[in-house]
Parts: sequence; structure tokens; C-alpha cells
Amino acid sequence: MQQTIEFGPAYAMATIDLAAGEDVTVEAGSMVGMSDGLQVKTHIGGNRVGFFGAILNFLGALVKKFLGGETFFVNTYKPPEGQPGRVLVAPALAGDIIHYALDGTRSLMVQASSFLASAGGVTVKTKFGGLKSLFSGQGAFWLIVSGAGDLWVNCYGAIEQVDVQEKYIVDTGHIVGFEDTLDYQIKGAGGLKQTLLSGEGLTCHFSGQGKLYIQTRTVGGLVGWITPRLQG
Amino acid sequence: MPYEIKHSPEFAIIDYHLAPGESVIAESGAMVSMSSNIKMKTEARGGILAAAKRKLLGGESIFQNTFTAEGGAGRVMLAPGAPGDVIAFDLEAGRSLMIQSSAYLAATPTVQLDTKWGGAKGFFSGVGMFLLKATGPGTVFVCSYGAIYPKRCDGQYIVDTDHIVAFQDSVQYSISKVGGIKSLFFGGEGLVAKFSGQGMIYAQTRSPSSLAAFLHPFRPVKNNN
Amino acid sequence: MRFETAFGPGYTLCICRLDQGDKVVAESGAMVTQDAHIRMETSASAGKGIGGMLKGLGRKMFLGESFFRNTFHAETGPGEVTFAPKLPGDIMVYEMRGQDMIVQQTSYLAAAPTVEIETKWGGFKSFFGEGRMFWIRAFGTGPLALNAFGAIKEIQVDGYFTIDTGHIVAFEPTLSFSIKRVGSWFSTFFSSEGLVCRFAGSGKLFIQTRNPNEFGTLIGSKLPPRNG
Repeated sequence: MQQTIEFGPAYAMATIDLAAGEDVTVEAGSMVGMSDGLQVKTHIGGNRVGFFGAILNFLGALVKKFLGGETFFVNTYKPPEGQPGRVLVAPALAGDIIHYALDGTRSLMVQASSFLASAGGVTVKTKFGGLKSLFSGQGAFWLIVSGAGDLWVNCYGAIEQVDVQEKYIVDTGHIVGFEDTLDYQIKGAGGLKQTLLSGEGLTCHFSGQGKLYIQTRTVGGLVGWITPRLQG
Repeated sequence: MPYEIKHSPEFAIIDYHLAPGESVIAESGAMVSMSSNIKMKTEARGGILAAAKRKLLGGESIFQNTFTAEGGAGRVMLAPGAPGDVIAFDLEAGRSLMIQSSAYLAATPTVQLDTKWGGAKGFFSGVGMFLLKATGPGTVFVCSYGAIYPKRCDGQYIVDTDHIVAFQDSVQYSISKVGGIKSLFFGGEGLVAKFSGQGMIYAQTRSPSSLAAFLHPFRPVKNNN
Repeated sequence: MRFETAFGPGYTLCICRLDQGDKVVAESGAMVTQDAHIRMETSASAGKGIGGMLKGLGRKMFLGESFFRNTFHAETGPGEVTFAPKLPGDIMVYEMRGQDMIVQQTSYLAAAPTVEIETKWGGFKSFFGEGRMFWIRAFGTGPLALNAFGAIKEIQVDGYFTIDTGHIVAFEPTLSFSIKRVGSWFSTFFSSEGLVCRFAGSGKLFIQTRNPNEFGTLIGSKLPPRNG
């Protein structure tokens, strides 16, 4: 498998070249283009196997959709027998794409709407972020990504990497992902007055040591900015 | 330099390194991240009257947040809601920059902000948009939708009003339609500002009303039950 | 008359420098800044008069979206006029040399008056992209500025290549194409992977790295409701 990412940080697109026998799992709706003959299979993201597992995955997906989160449907692309294939992948929003080669030693917590694609031995589990995150404007679900393989993550805006040493505070809307060595707690922006008036919403207090990935724009910020200019 | 503007021009942010006791004031909602010793204070800036003036004109939140580094140096990252660029202007004492209200992002505490009504024709087509006058000394941070195209006005220059970010107080402006009535209906070019005099004009390379018009059909329809 | 682009690929601006007497044609609403002495005329088509106006209206009714263009004329001296499209993204300047190019209508930004536009392209009736997508045929000579939603990538097709229709900017008519749906009913219901276009043959294809309909749907659903 080879991959390149072009046109970052504004409108990044990933070109994934699959060797014979390889496949890649991509968030539904993200396919830009593909070479001929690729087999496409749709499934719901979720790790339960078997018939009942599939039903639970399906119900879970509906719940997520109802709660305003990602539906987390994915398409797996596989080239025809014995042949290579190419898939071009891009998210719906402007911004960057980052590729991680996971080696199995570390897990990443990733914001659900930032998942773009994965390949190889990567497993993706969903984690409900708690009631507070329902109101974070971010969506209520996080993904725990582990195993060895490739992960592609998209962000709205550019990506800022922060190496947390002890403590760091981030507006929840701006979090893309972080290493599992970090502990986190979601709080309001200060007192009640601050949370309501500051416009800051919820903040996430990180402690420990690890890498944290921040996006420089949020969907909430975009909505807030364009709303006064809407007509009717 | 206590600040760095990163990811310009697509999704620029201010990465501000505050010395102990130093502050920066930002529009509400602008905080991306900060170190744990930064204290955030929310207040109606410029006193109640000035805030009320801004609130009456609609749209803008009347509250601003002051970020101060306590007990040591601190770091705060600030970003606007719109995708685009951020530029810092270092203003000398008494020099002013006229800024389209939603293009104002942050400033150092010594900058004076004054609201100036946009004029009867409505300088801007959005609700509650007006001109802000920022006077030095100090640094003011301006954000744009799109990249910023700076242009030196040397006599006369025309800019579509949707694309105006800021201009120096040494230029004058008047609002008019381009190309006559026919153009207003068919031309798509609505109101334009005719700048005259000598000074710098800053235009943004995308129009917020075009984005609003594009998104309009995708909005949910009101249920009149 | 020449085009330059700046600030790509995020919010590219098309800067047009005109010598005295030069003209440039641009999509209505595209002007950002201009020197004060440049004169703007609205013409519904390249021709003037009633015939031209009717042709333009015909375009509007047929295409469901206004396709009026303005001509900027540097009558009294050289000057500069800048253009930007309605959506964020890049702009590319393509030098037309007598060959045709099929262009997605909203990608047309500006061109020299020697580049002609035709809307009755025979192939497009069968070409129904997501939402409303209309196609025009560009021919003639001179520079043509095309905008895209996102960045622009040129793909040389030799054989077959499939593209999500919302990502197509322009292509050479030496390519033939067919429209299909990707995935099962299941995936299209939930996944929004809609129509794809399978190109065949040999030729250039220009794609944009973002899909306007996907972006509109994602953000639109979070905006306050509108009246009717």
C-alpha cells in the first residue's frame, strides 16, 4: 500500500494505491475517484460480529444518527483478484488529512467525524463521550483506534500538534485526536456566567504526557459566523 | 514577537505567547486552546454603553474575553469562525484602522475600539454589520473570509462591499452601484465602495453573502405548524 | 490581456491585467476589485442587443441558473480587475487552443472574449449529476479561468477512471462516459455516495477535491431553518 496526500492544508485529498489483495475502509461519502473494477462493500462501523452483532451495529448507528453524530457507515474498496487498485479520498469539509502508521503500541482517541479511512490491522471502537460531550457541539462519539496498520484522519482547518507535558486546555470543538497516554476531563469554560457568555462552550482539560492534535477551525464556528448573513 | 500567525492564509490562527501578567483581548468564542495558567475573564468591553451600541446594531456578541497569563508565561491560541486569514496591524498612537465588524478578532489592551455606523445605504449586506474604528497604540488582529489582498489606493479604487476587510483612515469612501440599474439585476455586482485618497485597502478574496446564498437551499425548511 | 492567480489553492484570486483597449468577460458577481476607470457592461451573451439578451435569458431558463456575464473594458488606459468565485477553492487558467472543453457551468469564472461558450452541448442531456449540475462547451482560443470547490487535480485518463460526479470540473470530449450508482441501496440510503461517472478513452480530466453538495448538506443541516 502506498499513499500520498496532496493539496493540504486547505483541500487535502489522499491517493491510496492498493497492491493486489489489499483493501481500504473509507468513511461513506468520501470517495472522489477510483480505478476500474474495484469491489465496494458497505458496512456499518462497529466491532460486533455475527448476525446479532450486525443488528446491534445497525441499532447503534441509528442511535448515533439520532444523537446528531456520525452515522459511521463505511465502504471497503478491494481491487479485482490479482490486480492493484487506486482510490482517491477526501472529506466533505475543507481542511487537511493526516496519515498515521500505527505500530500497535499506542492507541489514538479520535473524534468520530475526523475518521476518514483505515487499512491493515487497525481496529476502530466507538466510545460514548459522556453526556457533557453531547452539548459540546462536537458530536457525542469518540473512536479508539488501535492495532497495527494505517489510519487517515481529516480535520476542519489546519492541524496543530501540541506535545502536552503536564496540563493543557482545549476548546472541545477543536480536538481532532490525542494519544491514549493523556487523561482528559470535560468542563465548562469557567463559572456558569463564563460558560454562557464567553462563547467558549466546553473545554477539555488534558493532563499527562502525549501528543494532542488540534484543528484550527470548527463547524460550530463556521455556523456561528455565517448565520447573521443568512436571509429569510 | 509575542505572537505568531500560523497556517496563513487558509486557516490562520494566532499563537500568542503571553509574558507573565500580559493580556490579550479576543472576541467571544475565539479561544482554541490555552495553557492551564491562563485566566479568562469575560466582560462587556468598553463599558456598557459601547457594548449596547454594538449589540443594538445586532449580530455581534457584546462580550469579549480577556486572557491573562498568571504566575508565569502562558500560551493561548485564537481563531475566528470563518475559514481564512489573520493579519496583525501594529498601530501607532493615534493612527486608526477601519475594520468591518466581523473581521475584528483580537487586540492588545491599549487599542481603543469605537463603533462607527456604516451609513444609510448599509455599507454591508449582513445583519448588524458595521465599521469598527481601532485606534493605536497597540496591535489589532483582523480576520478575513478567504485570503487578504492588500491594495494601495492612489486616487481612486473600487471594491465590492462584500469583500471589504479593512482600510486605513486616510482614505474616504462612498457607496454606489456599478454599471447602472441593469447591472444591479443582471450583473450580480451589487453595491461597491469607491475609495479615494491615499492609503491601504484590504480586500478578502471570498464573499460571505455568496456562501450564505449557496447554503440557503440546503437549510431545513421552517415548519409553520 | 492576461490572467494571474494568487493565494491558491485555498481562496484563489484571479487577477486580470488589461492593456488599453483589452476586454475580459466574467461570470456575473465575480468582481472583487477594479481600477476605477475600467468600464463594466452587462451582456447576456457575447453578442449585444435584443438577440443577445434573449439568448442569455434562454440560457437562464434552460439551465435553471443565471448565466449572465459582464464584460470589463479598459477603454482609457491599462488597468487591473480581480475576480473570485462564489465558493472557496482554487482557480486554474487553461489556455484554449482551438480544442473543445466540457466545463461544469459553475466552474466558469472568466475568459478572453475569444473563448466562446455554448450551452447546447448534445452530450449533457444524459448527464445528471447530484443536485443541479449543468454543463457548457467552451471552444475557441485564449485563456479560460476555471474555478473549483477545493483544489484542482489534473488526471490523464488512459483506459478507465471513475469519479464521483460532484467532483468533476472539466474534461476533454475525447473521453466518453457513463453514469452509475456506487454501492447498494443500503449504502446510498445512508452513505450519500451518489452518482459516479466512469470515463473511458484517452484525455484530460480535471477534478475538484471537494463536493459542493456534500458540503452544503453537512453545514446546511446545522443552520437555522428558512422560510419555505
